[in-house]
Amino acid sequence: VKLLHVCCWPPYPENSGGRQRSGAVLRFLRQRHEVQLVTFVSGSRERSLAENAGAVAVDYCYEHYNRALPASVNPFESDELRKTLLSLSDSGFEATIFDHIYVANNVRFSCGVPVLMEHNIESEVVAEVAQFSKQRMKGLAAALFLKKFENEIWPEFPLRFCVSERDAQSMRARCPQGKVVVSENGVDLNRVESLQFIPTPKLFFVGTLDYQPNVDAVHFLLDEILPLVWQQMPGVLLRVAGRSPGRELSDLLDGHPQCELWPSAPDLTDLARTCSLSVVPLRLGGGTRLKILEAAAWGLPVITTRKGCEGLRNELVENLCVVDEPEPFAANICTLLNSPEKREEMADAARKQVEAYYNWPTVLQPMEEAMLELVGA
Amino acid sequence: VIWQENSEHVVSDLIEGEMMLLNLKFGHYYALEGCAVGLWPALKQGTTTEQLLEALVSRFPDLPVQALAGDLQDWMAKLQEEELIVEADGVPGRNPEFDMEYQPPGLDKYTDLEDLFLLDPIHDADPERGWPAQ
Repeated sequence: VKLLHVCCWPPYPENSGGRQRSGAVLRFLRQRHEVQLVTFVSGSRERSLAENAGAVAVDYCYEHYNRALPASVNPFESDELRKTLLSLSDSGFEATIFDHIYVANNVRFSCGVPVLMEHNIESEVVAEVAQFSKQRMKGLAAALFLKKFENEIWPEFPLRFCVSERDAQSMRARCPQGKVVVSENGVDLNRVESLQFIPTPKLFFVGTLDYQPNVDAVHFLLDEILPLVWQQMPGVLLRVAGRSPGRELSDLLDGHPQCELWPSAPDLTDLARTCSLSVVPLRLGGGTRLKILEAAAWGLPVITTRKGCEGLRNELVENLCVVDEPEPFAANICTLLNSPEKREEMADAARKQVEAYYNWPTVLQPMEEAMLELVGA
Repeated sequence: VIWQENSEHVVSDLIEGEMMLLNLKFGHYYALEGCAVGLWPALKQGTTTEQLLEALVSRFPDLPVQALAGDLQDWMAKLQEEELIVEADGVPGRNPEFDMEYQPPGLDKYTDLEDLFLLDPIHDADPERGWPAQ
């Protein structure tokens, strides 16, 4: 079938969880269907990467501000995008995938049937972040404002995708109209190989660093977990890889003798290869974490929190180390760093689960089937 | 009189344990306090002051009815003043049911919604370029 895919940012390069998912969906669907990408871009490099890949690139819109919409939706209220969609309206597209809630307000310009692909339930993430904020009530009000937007826009989409059954249940409860299908996050096992490690006492954290759940996780590591680790094992080093760190986080990590910051690493594989553990101490967030799936696919054992592994299958979670409190988190880091056999056992078991359940073509199959059913193909 | 949430301008929901209200007409937001959290769902559907009082008296039989009525009237007056509720037609909904210790119904008001419109709590926006530009 002929599909249009509208993205908040280009999946070139795939340097965040959201971009990885968008890129995987695009690659998967293009194997059997004609898919035109229309994507927002930032700057000339992203524009040229997108256009060289055949995408239509549009700029974020900061000229006008619609107070009836949440702040995170406003940059995507673009006349340029709407003109583009109008110009494509008689090109025979059978469905338009609106990739993320941020672009959902363009639904009335859909070419063919509109489909919404959620990466998480955004208002729930905002509410969680508010709990840790100094301006808690204002954050909760922002969550309510976004929830109102979700409640109003979701019924416009006869088909909506979520990344976990938990998110799908929440969406169905709030919006019974339309069909909600779970299409989990995954890993491209053809591209993410099981690594031959050169183990050193390095811990690996990866995540987009302008995203509050990841920023909070880095602070949690530095403030509460690693000081306990360093009491036992002073040589342990934290390696943080992720784009767009704010100045405060950059200064904190750059100035720390036991931390490394890699804001624009060309290949995470090379960074992961010399680490011994993936640490994912998330206390906030939604959806499911690609960073856990990727680490498991590399064969890097994972220590995380219950929030970090939320939404993942029990078969995989059983092969992660899951602890919430700083003391047991730190104790498990030390135990695993001192036990190569235990690390290997955990990593092998987790990799097997990822191979069984989380290869992208497997997890995206329900998405393709639901879209074909929707357009009657 | 049947009172109901002023749904033309007001949005309300339970978020992380707080019953929050937004009044988009005035740009204010509110958190309900005490028994108001239990009373509000009935107001959202449409109910009378008498029904709300009946529910309070039934739940707290040891407390003086006059005191309960006074607290309730004060709260309802604030809701009207802030245009969070309006008179409605139709039949009142079910009596509220709640399980909590008695604390007078309250309404905490916040007036910085203007900032809220610009607030994106989960993305660390570049102050000059804005999110998601890089």
